Amino acid sequence: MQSYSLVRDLTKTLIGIIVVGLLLFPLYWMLNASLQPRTALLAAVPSWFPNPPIFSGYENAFATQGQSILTSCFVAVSSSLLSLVIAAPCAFALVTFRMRWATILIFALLLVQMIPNIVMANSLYTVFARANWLNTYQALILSDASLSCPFAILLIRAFMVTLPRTLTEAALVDGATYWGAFFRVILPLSRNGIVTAGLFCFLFAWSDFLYALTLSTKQKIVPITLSLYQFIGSHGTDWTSLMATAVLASLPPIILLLVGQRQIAAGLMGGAVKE
Amino acid sequence: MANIGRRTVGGHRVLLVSASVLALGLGMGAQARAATLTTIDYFTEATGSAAIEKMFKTCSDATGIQIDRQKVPYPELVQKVLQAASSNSLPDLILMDNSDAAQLAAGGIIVPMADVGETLDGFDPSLVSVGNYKGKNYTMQPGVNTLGLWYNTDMFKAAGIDKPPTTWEELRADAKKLTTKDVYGLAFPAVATEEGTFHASPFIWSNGGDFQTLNSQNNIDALNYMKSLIDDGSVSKSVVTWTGDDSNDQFMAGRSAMLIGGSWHLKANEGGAIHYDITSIPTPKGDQVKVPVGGEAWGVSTTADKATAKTYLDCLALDPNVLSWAVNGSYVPAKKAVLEDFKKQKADMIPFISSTAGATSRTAVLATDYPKYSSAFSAAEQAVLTGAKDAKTALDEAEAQATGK
Amino acid sequence: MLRLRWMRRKLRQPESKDLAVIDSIKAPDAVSVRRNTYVWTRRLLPWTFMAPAIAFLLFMFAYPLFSNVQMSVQHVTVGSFLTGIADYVGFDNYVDLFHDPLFLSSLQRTAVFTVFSIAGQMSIGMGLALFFWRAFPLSTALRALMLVPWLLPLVVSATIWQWMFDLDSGVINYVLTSLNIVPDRVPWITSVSFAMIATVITNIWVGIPFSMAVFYSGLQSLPREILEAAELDGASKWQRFWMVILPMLGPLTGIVFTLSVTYTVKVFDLIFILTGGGPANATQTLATYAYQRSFRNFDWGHGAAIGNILILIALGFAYFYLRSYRQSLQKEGAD
Repeated sequence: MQSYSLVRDLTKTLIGIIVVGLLLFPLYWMLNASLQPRTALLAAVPSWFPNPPIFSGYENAFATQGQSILTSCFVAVSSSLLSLVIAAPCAFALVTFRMRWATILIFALLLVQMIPNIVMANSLYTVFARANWLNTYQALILSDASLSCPFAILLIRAFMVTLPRTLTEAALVDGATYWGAFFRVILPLSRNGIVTAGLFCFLFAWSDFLYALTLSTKQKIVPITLSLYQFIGSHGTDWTSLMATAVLASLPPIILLLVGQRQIAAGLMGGAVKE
Repeated sequence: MANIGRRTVGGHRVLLVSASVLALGLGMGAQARAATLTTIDYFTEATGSAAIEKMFKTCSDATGIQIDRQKVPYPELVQKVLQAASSNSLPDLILMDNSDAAQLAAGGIIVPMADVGETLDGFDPSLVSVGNYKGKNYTMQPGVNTLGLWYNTDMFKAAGIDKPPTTWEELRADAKKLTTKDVYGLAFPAVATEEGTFHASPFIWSNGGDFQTLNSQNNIDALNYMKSLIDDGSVSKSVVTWTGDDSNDQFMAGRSAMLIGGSWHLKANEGGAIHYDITSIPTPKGDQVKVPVGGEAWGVSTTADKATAKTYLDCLALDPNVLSWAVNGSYVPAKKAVLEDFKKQKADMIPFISSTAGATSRTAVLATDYPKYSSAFSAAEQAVLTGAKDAKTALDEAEAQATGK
Repeated sequence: MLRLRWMRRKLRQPESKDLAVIDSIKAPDAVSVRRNTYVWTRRLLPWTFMAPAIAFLLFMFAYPLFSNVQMSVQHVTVGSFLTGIADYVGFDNYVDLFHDPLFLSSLQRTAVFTVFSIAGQMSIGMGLALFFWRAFPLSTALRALMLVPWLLPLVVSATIWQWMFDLDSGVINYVLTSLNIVPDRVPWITSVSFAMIATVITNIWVGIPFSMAVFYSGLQSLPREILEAAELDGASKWQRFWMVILPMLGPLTGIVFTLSVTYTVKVFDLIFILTGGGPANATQTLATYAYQRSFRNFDWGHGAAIGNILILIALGFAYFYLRSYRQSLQKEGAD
């Protein structure tokens, strides 16, 4: 029995590696490109392996992009936290209270995500320019939070809906307030959904460049995506450095994902709901 | 009381001293509190950025006017300017792509040079008029860039071709001869942006066509000619995805024997592995080619202080500054007086200089309608080059698209 | 029907039961205090949860929505940005669009792009989520890696795919021709017939992580007992999937579907960088066309109108989701 499941598991691992390998092949190509000179990238026959690998791209990238990665981290984390702080209570309210306005709010949450990004960018520029908040962290954090907050509300709600209503009611009967029930009962049990939502909030904020581009007129706050974009514009076709920068730009989220996935797994163990 | 007396006596002197200090201070303040001009440009690339900073330093030292510079990626410049316009924070000087001048002029965002007091003496009139809108000049453009035919001299020698082509027939024959398994005869960008139209203009104009009437027979013939190059196999079908930089990369990597490319590639191609030379783009009968002129032009925004702007522009328009601007940026200087010195310093630009004699404005006739016609044309160009439609159908549809709505 | 729901709601209120008890025991003062608390609890308390969200939504989104609608009924020129003045033209912009062949074909292309992208993303995403459901060696790391396509900057992803799709030196054609899967090199992004296929493939690739991550989390939240019960009952894997898992994932699937549609119709960067909307408008969708109208042709009125039509289309899909949400609300009231 044990050996059978071991074989099955290892087969799965093998299949998993092949599937993921195929799906992530473009990433391998990116890595490949970051280690090859420009001329090799234009050759008639693609070279599968950098031979020999050149590291000038990475040197270039490190030299110029370090600050940007830190900026991105700060902005992404802050806007994720902001999003979650706004979203979790709202999701709870949608699930717990019977409100006529619920449908309208959900409608609004879907609607605001349909606004074309450029329209948002132009309008946000006007608003923040008038408030004299251009080139500030708060403007960028708010804007990036707007990318993810509606989604976070809907996602967390979808998770909270799977929790039985009796949980909240039991807490109330025990003398807790609704806020108490929220903090002490529902929130811990929704950890799965909240962490997932937080992950997406981070990713939305991390990959935004339109708002960063729009809201900055000086080189004060330059997240990595904006830096990349400027890099492309300025270095024309220095693909080696560009790809190296892209690889570096992807590393922090990957690390975060690896850490976050374990959180989700941990949340599962403690989060199983039994009547 | 005694104190007051002493203070009064001392007070007078103090007053005198302070008054003169104040006067001096005011005087110096008027200089120290010097005017500042805000500018915006799209030279985010390292060498270009350094060049413009150097120019700013020269003129700021000369005029005492400080520059507060903003740089944005190329595709974002107009959008940034418009955002600034709507929030009442327009920069004073705008260094724009000259093809955007008509739009900004039409919107009242930049003002005519005459209103600023700039007469642009010494500038070549044909080059100056390229940035006109409704007959008035709205920009000061120190240098222009244009297109030429770049060719790989080693490949020409190997194929036994002793001189570069001058007519369309020669171009077609040479391209075919030079095409091998790994090398295409000719490369040019045909992306769906203004760049595509820009690089197709020499073919259109030199054949007697234009962009006002997209489906003229001359245009149809020109597109058919370009298509024949692809049918011969001399031009890769991938041109519809190539930007100017991509085509240049192909050429410099030895994947293409010839290139329709701009003078702005000179800097990047310095020290490249291949040996090349540049000549004018072939025309149907070998006469003067008609080329588009691009390049960056200075505009003065409507909210700027005209006097300060004029002072600064005057400095930028001085002969030595125009010369160094052209040398650093691989432009053809727009001032005739400077040309001789320029030819000595940048001999590799000479082929481009002769081409600018046929400088044609993209926006002269169509003005603010030009973008509509340009995008309709590039869709037609792509349809023809990919073989999706024949030239007549494609151009008829383009004409309908451009003139409709 | 309505009265039934209202009666049911009344029955569920714990306070009303307590009220009855309290009325009979406590003094009137306590009752009024209790009633005020009732008001606070039932009426105002929910808003304390929702106030930050509503304030945030209003602050960030009210103006853009309004300005987009306003722009679409105006004739907006470059000068309008400066002066703030633009003539009102009623619905002319919209009418123009419906006579514009490029708009109509873009509409059709958007539909094709959306349908195939979503079908691909959701099915592959679900498949991967099921595959990763039970842990096996390396599953955590592999799952984390699967999210990378989503978080790569689109500029980079689109460029990589553009290289891979290249006619002459792209690796995809190299593999396909070397393995003799196709007779000749495929003109992925240089032919009007294939360009849309290439774009859809790239978009599916980018969108898989989103579906996979959400479905995976949803699967993990499913109550184990029900699944085990179904297994014990002898249901096959297929039956378990279609009849137990999928229905339980209903709300989650619904939101993933609606949001995927919303995001897909908006997709711009990917197409713009991969093909620029070409060749010859073969991949011109509403989003890219709106951009071209606004920022290449300087015609913001029409561009805004296209944007609003996009919103309406996405809202159409959202309507179905909202209807199922309302139904699930009513269902929740039933148990």
